[in-house]
Amino acid sequence: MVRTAGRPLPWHFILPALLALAGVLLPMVYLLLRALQADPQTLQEIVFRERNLRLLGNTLALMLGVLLVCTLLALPLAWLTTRSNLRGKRFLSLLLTLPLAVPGYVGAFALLGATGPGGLLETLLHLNWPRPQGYWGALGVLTLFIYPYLFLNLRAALLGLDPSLEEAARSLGYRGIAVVLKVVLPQLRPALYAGWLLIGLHVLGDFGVVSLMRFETFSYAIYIQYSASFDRVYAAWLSLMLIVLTLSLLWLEARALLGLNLSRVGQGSARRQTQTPLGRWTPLAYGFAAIPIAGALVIPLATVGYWTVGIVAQQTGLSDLLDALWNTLQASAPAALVATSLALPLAYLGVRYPSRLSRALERTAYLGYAVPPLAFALALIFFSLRGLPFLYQTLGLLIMAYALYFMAEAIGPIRSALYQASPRLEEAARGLGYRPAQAFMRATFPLLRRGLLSSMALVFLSSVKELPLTFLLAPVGYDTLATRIWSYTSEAVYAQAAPYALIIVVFSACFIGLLLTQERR
Amino acid sequence: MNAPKVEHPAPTAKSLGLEPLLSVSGLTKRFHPALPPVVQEVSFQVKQGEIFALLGPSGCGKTTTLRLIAGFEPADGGKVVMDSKNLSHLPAEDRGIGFVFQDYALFPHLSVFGNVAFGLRGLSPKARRARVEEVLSLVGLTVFKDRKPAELSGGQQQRVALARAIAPGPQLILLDEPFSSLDAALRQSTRDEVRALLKHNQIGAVLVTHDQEEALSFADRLAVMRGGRLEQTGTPEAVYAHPQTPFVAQFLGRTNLIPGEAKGLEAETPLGRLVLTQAAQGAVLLSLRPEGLSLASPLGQFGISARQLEGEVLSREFKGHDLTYRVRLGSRELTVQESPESPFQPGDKVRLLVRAKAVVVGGQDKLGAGD
Repeated sequence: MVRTAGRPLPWHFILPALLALAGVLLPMVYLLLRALQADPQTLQEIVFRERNLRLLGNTLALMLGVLLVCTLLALPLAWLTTRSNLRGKRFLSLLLTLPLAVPGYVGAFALLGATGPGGLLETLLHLNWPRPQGYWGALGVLTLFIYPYLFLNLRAALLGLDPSLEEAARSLGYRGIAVVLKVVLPQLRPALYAGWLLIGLHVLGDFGVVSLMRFETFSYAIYIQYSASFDRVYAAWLSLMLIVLTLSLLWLEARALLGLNLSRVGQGSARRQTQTPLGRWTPLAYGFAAIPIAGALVIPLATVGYWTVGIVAQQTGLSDLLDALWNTLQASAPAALVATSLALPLAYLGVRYPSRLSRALERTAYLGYAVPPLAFALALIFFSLRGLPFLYQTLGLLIMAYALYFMAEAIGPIRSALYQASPRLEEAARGLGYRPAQAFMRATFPLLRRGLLSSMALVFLSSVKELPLTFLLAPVGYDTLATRIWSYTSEAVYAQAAPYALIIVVFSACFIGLLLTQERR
Repeated sequence: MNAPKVEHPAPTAKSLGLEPLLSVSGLTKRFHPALPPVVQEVSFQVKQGEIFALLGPSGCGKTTTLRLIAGFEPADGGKVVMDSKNLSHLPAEDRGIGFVFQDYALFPHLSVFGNVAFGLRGLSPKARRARVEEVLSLVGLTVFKDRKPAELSGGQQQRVALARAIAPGPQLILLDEPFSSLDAALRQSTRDEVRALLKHNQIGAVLVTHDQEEALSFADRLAVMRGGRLEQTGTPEAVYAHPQTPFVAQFLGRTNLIPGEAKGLEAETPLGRLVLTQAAQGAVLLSLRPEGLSLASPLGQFGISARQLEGEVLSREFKGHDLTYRVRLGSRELTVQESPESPFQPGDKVRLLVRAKAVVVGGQDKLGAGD
C-alpha cells in the first residue's frame, strides 16, 4: 500500500545526490566541448569513418559474449555456494571472489606468460596451450576476472531471499528446478541486473585486456588516439559513441527494474535457508567451480609467484615496493569511504522514492562509471586546470577521481540491501518521534551495514587495481602498485612487475575475506 | 495483563470526553490525478479512550486513511485534529500517535527491549529501563526482552509491536489489521487482551480491519467504508440493527435484501406484509437479518390449508451454536438462522415465519447496488 505520489523528496538525501551529480557531469561537459571543437568538415569526416562501424561491432560482440559466459558461470556458482550442501562453501566463495583482486591487465600478462611456446605450462607440465588472443582471448580473460561482480551480487541476493517463498512454491507442487525458475530467479532480478550492468560497463571501458589481446574496441581505439597521435577531438568522438552505447545499456536496465519492489511481504522476520543435497552431482559441482579457480587464480598466481621468487632471490627494490604500497592505500581507502557516502543517498532515493528525478540521479552515477577511464581522467585534468587549479596534480584530485568514478560500483550492494529493508521500519521510527534523517540512521542504516561494507570493499579494490586514472592523475613521482606494474611491463620486464602484482592480489584477498565474514554476521 | 497502569495526563475537560480526542474531517487523498480519490471526504471522531474501527473490503481506502492520520502520507484535503491541535501539516514524528503495522515492522537488528525502548528518548537510562519493563509486563513479555524479533512467535511479535507503540504513552494508537496474521485461536485471545489493555489504560484506538466480527466485538464504535467513503458510522449495535445502505447491511453480518412497496410503517413484499422499523413511502429495498426469520413445518402437514409462505430447504449448515439454512421461496433464495435443534433437511418443504421488523436500506433505485 505504500506509494510515493506526493511524498516530498527528503532534502538531506537530495543535496549530497546533487553534489555527486555535479561531480560526474562536469567532466562530461568538457568531453562534449572538446568533441565540438573542430570545423564541420573534419567533424563529418570523423563521425562517418568506416572504422567506427567495425569498432561498434567488435565492442558489442565482446560485451554480449562476456555477459553470457559470466552468467553461465556466476549463477550456478552463486547457487552452489549458498544453497547446496557442498563442503567448504565459504572457502569456495572466497576463492571464487578472489579473481576480482587480479586486475585484468595483470591476469592477461600472467596468462600470456603461462601459455604458448616457452610458457610456464609448457615448461612445468609440457602442456602446449595456445596463447589467448583476439576475440576469444579477450572474452576468456575478461570473463575470468570480472565474473565475480555478478557472483557477489547473486550471492548476496540468494542469502537474503525469504526461504518460505520457496517452501510456498513446493507446497504448490513445484519441485527442484521449477522452484528455481519460478520463484528464485525472478527474485534475483535486481541482483542480476546490477551485476550485468557492472560487467557490461566494465567491458565497454576496459582497455588493458583488449589492447593486450589486440582486439580493437572503442576503448582500445581511444587509448591509441591519446597515446599515439594525441588526437583529442577524435578521441572525444569515440568516447561519445561509447557513451551512447552505455546509455542504451542503462536505459535497458532502467526499463527492466521499473516497478520492482521485492521487500518481504508478510509477518515477522525471515528464517534461515535450507540446503539442497547434491548427492552424486557433488564431483561435477567441484569440477565446475575449479574452472574459474584454475584459470583466474592458480595459473596466473603460479606464473606471478614463479617470477617473484626469481626477483626476491636478487633482493632488490624493497623500499620502492613499500613506497608504492603506502601510496596506493593513501589514495584508495579515502576513495572507498567517499564513494560509499556518495552512493548511499543515490541508492536510497532510487529505491524509496522511485521517480524520474531519482532515476536520473542514479543513472548519472552509472554514466560517470561508463565513461572510459582515460577520457574521464583527461576531462578531470582539464576541469581542475580551469576550475580548481589548486587541486591539479594533488592526491585530492586522484581520490576525487576514484570516488566519482567508482561510485556506481557502490550503488548495487546498497540498493540490494535497501530492497530488503522494509520501508515500514522507518515509518515506525517516525511514528515514535524521530525526524526523517534520524529515523533513517536508527532504523534502516543498521540493516545496510552488510551492503555498505560490500560497497566499500568493491570501491577499494577497484581503486587499488585502477590503472588509467592513476596513470594520468597521480602527482608527479607518486608511484602506486598499479603504475609500477604498468611501467615495468610496458618495458617488457614482466618479472619485475610480479612482486607488485602479488601484493595487490594478497591484499585484496584479505579484504574479500573480511567481506565474507561480515556476510555471515 | 492486569499489571501496572500506563501513566497518562491528569483528566482535563477534553479527556473527560467533552471534546473528542481525534477529529478527522473531510480527509481526501488521491494517488493519481486521473484516478478517483482513494480516500474521499472521510470524517469521524474518536473520544478519549474509545476504540473505533474502520471496516471495509480490501482496497476501500481504510489503510490509506490510517496512514493519513499517522502522517505517513500527505493528505490532499481535510483536517486531522487531536486534542484540539491541528495535526494536518505536522510530520509523522510530531504527531505523537502510536502505530501498529500489519507486518509489525519490528527492527530486526534490535532486541525486544531495544524495540520497545526505541521511542523512549529524552529519558534517563534508568527511567527508560523502568518504562520498558513496565510496558513489557503489560503485554506479558518480560522474560523475552533479550530476544531478537526473529526468535519470537507471531503472537509475541504482535505484542512487541503493541508494546513499542504504547511505550511513549500516546493517547491514540492506530492499528492496521493487527490480528490478521495470527491464527484463529490466538486471534480471539490476543484481541481480548489488547482490548483490555487499551481500556485499562484509557488509550484511544483506530483499528482497520476487513473482518466484520472483529470490528463488531472489538470496537466501541465503527464506520463501514466503501470506495474511499464512509457509508455509515455508529455503535456496532446500531449499525447492525439499522443499516442505512444495502452494502452496509450485507457487509456487516449476513442479510436478506427484499424489494417492497412501503406505506407508512408497513410494506407489501414477496414475503407478504412486513412491519418496518421506520415509516417510508413508495418503492423500497428492505433488509431482514437471518435471525429475524424462522422455519416451521408447512400447515398442510396438519391438514390446514391457509395462506402461508411455503419454501424448500436448499442447504443446511450446522455451526454448533446455531444453524443456517438456505431456503428457496419462489424465485428468491433466503438465509435463515435457526437454533441448533432445528430438524429440517435439504429438500424439506417448510413454512417461513417473519419475526422481526424490516429495515429500509434504500429506495428501489438502489436495488442491486449492494453487490
